[in-house]
Amino acid sequence: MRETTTLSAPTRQHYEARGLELPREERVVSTSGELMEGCRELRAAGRPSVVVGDGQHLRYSPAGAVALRTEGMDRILSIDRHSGLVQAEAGVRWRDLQDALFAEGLSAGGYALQPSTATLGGLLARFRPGPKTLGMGSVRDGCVALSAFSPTSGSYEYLAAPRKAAGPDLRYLFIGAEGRNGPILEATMVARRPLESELLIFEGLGLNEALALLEAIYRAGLRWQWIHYVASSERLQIALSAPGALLRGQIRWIEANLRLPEAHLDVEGLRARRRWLEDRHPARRAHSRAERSSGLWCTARALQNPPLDRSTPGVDDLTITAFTPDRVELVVEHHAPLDVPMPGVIARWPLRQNLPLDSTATTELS
Amino acid sequence: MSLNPAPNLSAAMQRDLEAIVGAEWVRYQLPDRLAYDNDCWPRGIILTRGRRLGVHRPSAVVQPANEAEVVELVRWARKTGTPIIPFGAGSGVCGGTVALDERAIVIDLKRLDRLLEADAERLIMRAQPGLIGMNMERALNYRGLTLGHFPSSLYCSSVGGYLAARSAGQYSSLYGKIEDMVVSMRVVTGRADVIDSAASVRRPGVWEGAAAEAMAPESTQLFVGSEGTLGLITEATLRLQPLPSRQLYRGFQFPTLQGALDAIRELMQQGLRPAVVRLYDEFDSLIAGSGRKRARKANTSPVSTVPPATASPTPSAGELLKGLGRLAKRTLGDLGVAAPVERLVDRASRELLSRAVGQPLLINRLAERVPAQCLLVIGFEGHNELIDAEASFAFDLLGRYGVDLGEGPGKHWLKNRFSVSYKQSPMFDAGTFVDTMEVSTTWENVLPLYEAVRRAVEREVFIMAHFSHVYAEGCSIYFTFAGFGSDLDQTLRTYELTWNRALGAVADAGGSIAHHHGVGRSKAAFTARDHRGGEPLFKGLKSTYDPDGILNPSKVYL
Repeated sequence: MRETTTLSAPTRQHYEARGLELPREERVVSTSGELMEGCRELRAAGRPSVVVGDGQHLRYSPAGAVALRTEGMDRILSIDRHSGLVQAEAGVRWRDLQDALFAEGLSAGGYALQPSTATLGGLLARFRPGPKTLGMGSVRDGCVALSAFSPTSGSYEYLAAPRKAAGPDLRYLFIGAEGRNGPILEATMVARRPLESELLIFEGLGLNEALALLEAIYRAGLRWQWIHYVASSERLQIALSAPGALLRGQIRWIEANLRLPEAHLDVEGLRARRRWLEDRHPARRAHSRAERSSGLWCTARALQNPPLDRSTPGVDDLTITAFTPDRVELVVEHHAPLDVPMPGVIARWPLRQNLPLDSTATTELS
Repeated sequence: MSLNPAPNLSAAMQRDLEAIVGAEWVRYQLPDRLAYDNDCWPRGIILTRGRRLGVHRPSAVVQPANEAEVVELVRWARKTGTPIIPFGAGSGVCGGTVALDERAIVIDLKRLDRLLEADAERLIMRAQPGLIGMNMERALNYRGLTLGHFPSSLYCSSVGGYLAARSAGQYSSLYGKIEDMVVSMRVVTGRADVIDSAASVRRPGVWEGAAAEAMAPESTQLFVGSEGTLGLITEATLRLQPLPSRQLYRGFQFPTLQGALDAIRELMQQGLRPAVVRLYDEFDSLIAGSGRKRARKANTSPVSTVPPATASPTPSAGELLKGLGRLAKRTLGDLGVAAPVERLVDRASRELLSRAVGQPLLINRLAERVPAQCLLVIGFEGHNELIDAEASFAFDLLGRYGVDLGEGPGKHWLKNRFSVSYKQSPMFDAGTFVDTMEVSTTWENVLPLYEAVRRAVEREVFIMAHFSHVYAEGCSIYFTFAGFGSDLDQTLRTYELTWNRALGAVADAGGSIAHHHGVGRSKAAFTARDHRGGEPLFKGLKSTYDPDGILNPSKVYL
């Protein structure tokens, strides 16, 4: 374990680039054992600690705490091609996991868009309100098993078997808990065989038109890999994936029944486009406008009546990253507090928060 | 047992309960209490058929009308230290709602049975926990909607029960299990707090309540599957789907189980989304064949008496014996026995087989020798021609591994899929018992686990299985076993031994002990095998939500 009591310049830059306050001390751990030992020791000493992956989603301020950096825990532990599973340490970056699986002829799955630079453990542990969304969910829906460590209860392992009914799903003491119940150590994820994919790009769609198109596709029974809509550019991108014959049929159906896309990208183009979008994903602390952005979860109706769009006072832009009829997930960039009435908004949280470590509130609106 | 033993509750306690819910909704009489002596746990059925009544009878049955009354009941139970057993429709098969303490009261939630909202625009519904599945589904269908949750117990199970036990419907490969459908819940904890696990603008993902501080934001998934040990569900919000307009069903036959499993795995890993996938092992396929034949005969009658073979977790004695007869016949045929001799042997073997459930090793070995094939029932449901294309693609894929039997097996299954769960198998009357065990594992481990369980119990019970609830990474195995004891005590010994060996084999082979029946009492000793190191975490949850330990004690974990 490498300890840094005086933070080096690159270390300071790591935190500053994400708008995070500096920790009192940083320890870079490279094994689960080191991480558990660090947690135990710091708890025994009564010293506050924060588990940090990449730090993209960290909402609790590390100021005054010992930061336990997990990026050294980046090994891929096993790949089960038959069952389509990959087990990896929590500190592996999502992009590295994607690349490693790609080299094995597998895919890490087409979950809703997320920063590729984030770590696996961080993506699972990050705050994200809302229920599961089967078929078009977040990365946590692809998590089959995990191991974690609770400083108070010890180590925990959730068996790698599908959809168990053996009591409460105790993974959810760690998934979404932002490390506050202890760190995630390893995770077993679904690793799919890559299917044919295509990106449909629709241009010139107003917000309401984009929502209507997404709803029509959803109700037709089609499930996309991911979507991305930016209000300022009026561009909706939908990634579809299926065995070749079915994929072509799905695209023909959309074209014949709903709307012709302005452009198609094949799998190579899609992959490049996804990386580009992920690197600039608005829901990350290092995003240039994260400080003036909020995550929002609302009904589609809430975006329409009264309209929440670029005409709303203080709003600069909206990016939709997930859609179901009961829930639209988006990032709202704003230059003034979002204090307009928002009926139908279910959850709202600033992207860049620096909550005190002893805070029990998960989120307070700024 | 006295014919009318005095209730365990004092007169003052009875008055308290009556003050909360009204005198007509508190029941102390022995027949009422005996009605709650067991749910559908086969061990309890064995006891009942053996005339050993009242083993798990509660001291009273209370039927609240609303959440406020539930809160008051929990508050009263805290004050008096009375254990609470939450009860929905009583269709559980793991003893999740049996009283283990004679002071316990059952809180029966059947009066909370309203569909509060069904929003076709947002595709969301809100329901109370006592709403029966089929009533809910009919109300949704009327609005052009479906939950997509179709357990075989649909007529006799409730929304609260689905959530409490992490239930799966027959269409889980398309719509998911109940934990994939739930958005949020309202729960009355053992502190008599009401928790709403829905996100709110003020505190996304965190409820308002005294116990909020100690919990992770993803509380919904912690209450799902808690089987009443952390709280009583009083309302649930669930995600809906538009009612599909097209159904395509098909049967396939495969020469080997391995080949069939390979085909299904290929299907799921290609990202296809069949609604129904049910693969029967060789002997289960024989019984399924028997059921289909009888179905065809029964179709001539306006009132169907079709045995629910392909949907049934517990085959009737007749079906089982018929299947065993077929098994013997085929095995003998395989050995080259001439037809007249075969008939003689067949008659003799039937007589023997009627007692053969008591000699399971023989039958299990016979089953392994059978040159039978495996039956797969598969169905797709959707809204337009896209589903036709997906089904066609899947049928082509399956046709490369097996033989297409056409629509017949699928249609038969579809017609009879709910015919069984509320009927107790006649096998119990014949002195035998039948039970089922649903486990799950990853694809690589499916056949090893299947074999391990067969080996573990082959001397105790006759065993067969089907494979359903399939996912990209694995599937559920649904074992059915039948055993026999010369008297009640021996039957119970065989029953307990079978379960211990079977669950031990599952856990040793790396499988999960439960896929959708929950844990209840019957599997509680093995829960920790699914959650290594989980017991202290569960105790932490209990101390947060049920500090007095009054909620469904000794369930989920012993």
